[in-house]
Amino acid sequence: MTDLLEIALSNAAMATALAVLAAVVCRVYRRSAFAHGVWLVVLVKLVTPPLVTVPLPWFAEPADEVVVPAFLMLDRAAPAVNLLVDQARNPAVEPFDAVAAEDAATHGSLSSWKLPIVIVWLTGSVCVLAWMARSIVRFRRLLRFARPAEGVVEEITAELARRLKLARHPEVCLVPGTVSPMLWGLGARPRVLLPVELLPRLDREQLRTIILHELAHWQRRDHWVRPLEMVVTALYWWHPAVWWARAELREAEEQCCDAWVIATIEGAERAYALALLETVAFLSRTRVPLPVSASGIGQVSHLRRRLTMIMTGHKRRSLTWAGCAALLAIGLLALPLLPIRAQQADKKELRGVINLQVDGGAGSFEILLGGDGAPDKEAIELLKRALKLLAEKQQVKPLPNKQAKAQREEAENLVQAVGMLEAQAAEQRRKLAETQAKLARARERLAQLKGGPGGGAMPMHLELKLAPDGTAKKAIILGTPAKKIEIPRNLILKIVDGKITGIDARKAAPSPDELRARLDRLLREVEELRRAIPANPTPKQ
Amino acid sequence: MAGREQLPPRVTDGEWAVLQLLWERGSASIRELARALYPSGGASEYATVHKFLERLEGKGCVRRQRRGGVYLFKASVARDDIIGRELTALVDKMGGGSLQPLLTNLVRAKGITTDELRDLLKLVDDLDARKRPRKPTV
Repeated sequence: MTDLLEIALSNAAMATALAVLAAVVCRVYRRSAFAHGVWLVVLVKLVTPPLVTVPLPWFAEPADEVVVPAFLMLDRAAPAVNLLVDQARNPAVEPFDAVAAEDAATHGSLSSWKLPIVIVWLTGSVCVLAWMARSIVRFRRLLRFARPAEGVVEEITAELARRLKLARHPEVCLVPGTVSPMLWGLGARPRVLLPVELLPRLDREQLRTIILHELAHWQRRDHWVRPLEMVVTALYWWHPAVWWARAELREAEEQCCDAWVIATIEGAERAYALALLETVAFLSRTRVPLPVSASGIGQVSHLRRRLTMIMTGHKRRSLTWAGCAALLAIGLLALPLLPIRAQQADKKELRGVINLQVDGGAGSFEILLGGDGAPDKEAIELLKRALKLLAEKQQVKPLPNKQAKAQREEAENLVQAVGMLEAQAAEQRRKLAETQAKLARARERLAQLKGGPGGGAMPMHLELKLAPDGTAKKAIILGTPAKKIEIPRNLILKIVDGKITGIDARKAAPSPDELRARLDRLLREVEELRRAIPANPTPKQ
Repeated sequence: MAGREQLPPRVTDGEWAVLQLLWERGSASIRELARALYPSGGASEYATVHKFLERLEGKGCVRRQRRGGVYLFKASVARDDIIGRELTALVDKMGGGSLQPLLTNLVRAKGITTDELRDLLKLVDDLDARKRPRKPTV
């Protein structure tokens, strides 16, 4: 599809150049038959597939350089260039066959700018074709009511056919309506159509010239050009050169047939010119007389030129051999060519012989061609696109605004939470120190009780209530008076054979409620502290 | 455009088919027309033909007459008038305007004024006179 689009666009460009050339040539060499041939070449060019590609050296693209990012390795062994991601240098990127991905991207579907063009183009073509098909169907339906000509018209036709040495000739039919005499060639058999109402306005000589004009069209096979025009118009409906070529072609055709008429019938110039004017008058009759400003100046000047040529022009009916040769040369030169930019010329042969040279340490590569050192346009293009793809794939930042904001907030929250936890830890440490101090005091008292000045050791029982996990939750000191001591939750008494062998302090896992309460406390504290700090700590002095 | 009013009206494809039958048969009832146009049709096809006939009647292309309880329709425009009109319009579109790939016309000029015609005639005469000093009588 992409290739077709490129060929079509290239043909369109070539046809434009040819059309300009044709206009110049026809201005210099004023022969209708030659002009007809040249303009025909313009149309044919548009639907000729290019056979020979011609590199245009003066239109070459500047040499390309591709800088390969450091994280990429180029696989030299492969016949095509393979891009691999260097895991060591950039472990974040997965290995990725960029060329394959690019191939899939370009060959699987049309690249983004081409797709709308193709859609609009094809839609237009379908519309033009539909319009043509509808017109043809309706025209043929109306033609069913055309009556074969009899009498004078038939006589004249037979006589002219003999004079032109035609083995057979198209049927001449009479049709109603205000239409021009014409040759209808789209269908099984071509027919010359004459409007019934025109006949009474022409004398016999004038009628002869007009029928002869139509037979000349048939003899020249002008009706064969119509399908070509239709196809080209449907394909290149947007191309001004098509419409230009068609208008010029039509004018050349008419001038050629005019030349046939005045060459075939001696001294018929005046009769023919008047017949044309009579036809024009007939065609204009049913029209509302147009205001002068809206009158067809172009039409009149066209008619004026045509009439002048009929009255004064030369009578050569067809091309001279020199004209034929010139046309043939133009056709042979222009038709099969496909001009392309020079670098693309030999891409088929050059593929796969790409050398890579490491450029001094910067991690960039220069891509050179094996043979003469000219860069391979296709490979470079491929590489460029592959690199772009990779870069896109690799790029994580910048994040979209919203996401970035969310992340910033999250980070702030984390910092805050850590701060709070630290504060909590300090609090815990302070409490622990307090408890330890209390415990030390308790031990002191215990020692005093044991070996105190009273001498008599006071028997003391420490009854411990053990929790299922072997830690003591409560201790009861039996004596006088018996005393119950609550063991703080964060103290663990190690008991072996009923004796306390050690005390451990631990950070008890605080319950969620406790935590919340503690957090609240902390928050209040922080709030108070903040209030205590002056809002503007830098004094003015 | 004032001049267009004298011209026969344009007809659609469906109306055209009905008119064609009327030209062939002279006159026909709705039922006959419906059967001819839609051999396997039913009530809706009948209604379609009825609609075509009403539109054609509105355009002045058909007339109806009551014959023994049914309406008989008859074309009231000449076939050549309608064909000529359609052909003219079609050729104008296909061959006269900018879209002209379908026809090989003798001349394309339309809407030429009398003054312009007179001017062109004079041109022919002048050229003729220059070519042949002894001007032939027309």
